[in-house]
Amino acid sequence: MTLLVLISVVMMAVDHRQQHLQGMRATLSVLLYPLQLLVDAPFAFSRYTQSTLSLQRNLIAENSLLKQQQLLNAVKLQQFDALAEENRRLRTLLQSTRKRWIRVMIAEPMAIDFDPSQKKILLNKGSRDGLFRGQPVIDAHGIVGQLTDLSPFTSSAILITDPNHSIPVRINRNGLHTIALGTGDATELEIAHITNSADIRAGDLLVSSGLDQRFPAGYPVAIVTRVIKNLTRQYAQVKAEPTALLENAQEFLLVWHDGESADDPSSHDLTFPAQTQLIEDR
Amino acid sequence: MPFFSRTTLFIFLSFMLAIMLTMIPLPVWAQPYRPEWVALVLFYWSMHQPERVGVISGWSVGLLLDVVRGTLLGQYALILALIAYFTVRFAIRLRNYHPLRQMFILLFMVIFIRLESLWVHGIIGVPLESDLYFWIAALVTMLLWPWLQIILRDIERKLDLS
Repeated sequence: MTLLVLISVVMMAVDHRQQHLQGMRATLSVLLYPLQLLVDAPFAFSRYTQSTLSLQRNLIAENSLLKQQQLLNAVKLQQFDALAEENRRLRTLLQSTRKRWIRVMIAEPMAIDFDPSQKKILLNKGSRDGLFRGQPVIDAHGIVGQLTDLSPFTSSAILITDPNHSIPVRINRNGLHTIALGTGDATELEIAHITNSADIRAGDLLVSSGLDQRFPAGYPVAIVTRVIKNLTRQYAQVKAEPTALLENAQEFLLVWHDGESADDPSSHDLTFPAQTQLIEDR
Repeated sequence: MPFFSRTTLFIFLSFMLAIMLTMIPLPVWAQPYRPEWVALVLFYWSMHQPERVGVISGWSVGLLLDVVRGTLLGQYALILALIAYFTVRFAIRLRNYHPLRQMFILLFMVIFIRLESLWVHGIIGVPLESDLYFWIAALVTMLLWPWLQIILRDIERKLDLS
């Protein structure tokens, strides 16, 4: 009994500080995978029936909506092409050869709940699909989080709202660098170390700065909702709301990107898993 | 007594079901009310089958629960092993208690699960918010106890397990 208590305490300490227990966690989650599949099955089934048994007029409506969106996106992309070209010209003027590319793989969340103290999601792709620890996860609206635990078939991602998580960001309007901390509240991030005199106001978009060399730079993270300047304190209290759908998203993108390296993706010696797509080269 | 008897199999299945119930997604408002299914089942088995279910089973199930819940490996293992220890130790006495009294003992056990999670989070530097909702799961678990006892005992009798 005492031995087991001791083992548990030591394991908690090791699990908190080091990565030695990753293998054990992965092995145990393989054992639990059938259970997770079983729990997820009714939800997967309802998703499946929803997609196969929808009415034709709903499909037509959805189709026309998607076409409109596609048109709008295409118009935006025209501008984007011109901007990318201009960017390239400016880069050559600066004699910088940096190229950015990202590769993505689509993953779906499994309907599994974690402990309420953890802001995590379980994805249906794992180390078998070539994912790695610390890999960034994004959705259609912004940065979601990063992968923490991998097993062959599943992986769990910690969200940016988890109190254990923080991400370096910059204000899109003026480039001010700061850090966004999770609070445990699904709709709130705390922005750290903003001085009372700093130029930040509600409505500012925070994008990832890429200084961590883990998240790709320039992706939306959150929008500032509240700035409370209090001269009796050293820093202002700043709250922001994540732009990504986080727990409510139906699809997530797992990202491979070049970080700070100046490599060309074609000459890159990395090998990517088969299901990935190159989506950007700017 | 063979190791893989029908009883062992049934105990195993009930634990698996408890783990699945713990994983099932609930809407956000209902999450604080989620009972501690595994502790509930463990309490039953270590009371009624103390020679089969004890500290080791409690610890192993706790470890699985840690993986499922994403908590630090050992957090649930530790507390479930302790719960199993005390239940097995006083199994005969507990079995003869009035269900109401068993309910209150279970209430204290679940409160201890919550307390331990508070301690662990405090030690690793991520304090939890412990408002009233944080403790309500203990009450829900307690109220489920009589029903679980009736159901499991009925199945035990139907299957004629010893």
